[in-house]
Amino acid sequence: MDLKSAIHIASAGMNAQSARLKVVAENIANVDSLATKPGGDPYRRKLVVFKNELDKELGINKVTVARIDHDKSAFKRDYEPGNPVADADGYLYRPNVNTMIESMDMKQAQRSYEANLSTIEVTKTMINQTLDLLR
Amino acid sequence: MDLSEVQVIAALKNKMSYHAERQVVLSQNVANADTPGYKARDLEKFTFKQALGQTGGLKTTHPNHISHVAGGGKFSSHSGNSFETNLTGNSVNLEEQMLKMNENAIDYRATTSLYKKMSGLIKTASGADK
Repeated sequence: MDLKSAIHIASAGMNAQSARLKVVAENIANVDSLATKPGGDPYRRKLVVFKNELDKELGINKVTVARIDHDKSAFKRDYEPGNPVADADGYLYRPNVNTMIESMDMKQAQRSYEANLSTIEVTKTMINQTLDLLR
Repeated sequence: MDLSEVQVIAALKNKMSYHAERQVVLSQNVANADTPGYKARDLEKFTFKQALGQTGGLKTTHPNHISHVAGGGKFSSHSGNSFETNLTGNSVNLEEQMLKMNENAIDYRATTSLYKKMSGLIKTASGADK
């Protein structure tokens, strides 16, 4: 358990947060992705789940993406009989993506990313102080 | 001459490794700020006994030995006493962790400065300073 492993852990955390940002971007990009055939399902919102996993090579626990889940909440439903992908009753299903929630998620990911970054900064200062002992 | 035989140097060395290990534990907390069910950990306070190198418990004299302390470090850690726990069971509070990390960095800096002072004294005594 030396200071270098602190940097490894923090960079794994940053990696995980950027994976989360990628999924948020995917959700926002697909906010209007409808079904491809009448009565089909539109885009379903994705969620990232993290886990703490032992890195056997370094002997430390690093955070990784456990899986990418789907949001099970209901789709938004509008009555639009004229739309080509509306179902038999004339209802059109829209993705269960809320851009407000996505932007909050994005902010949170950014904040966690910054926290990991400042961990690296602090650790770097500590390593420099250790090296200063040689002088 | 073995510098680690000087009591003060040995104590400072122990304190430095304590702070290095605490930094690893704290960085783990920050990295897991969004991991469901993760409990924030921290090391027990540094004691005078630990400064003297009397950590107690089992000694690991071989790299293949498993430490008696969870997490594989030299110092024992605990979880709990966190400000809050959110709905996913995560008890990491970023502000709290940043506070602890800064505190740790300042203590580390103080220890390295003391170490430098001490080695300066020894240099003066041995006449290497001239």
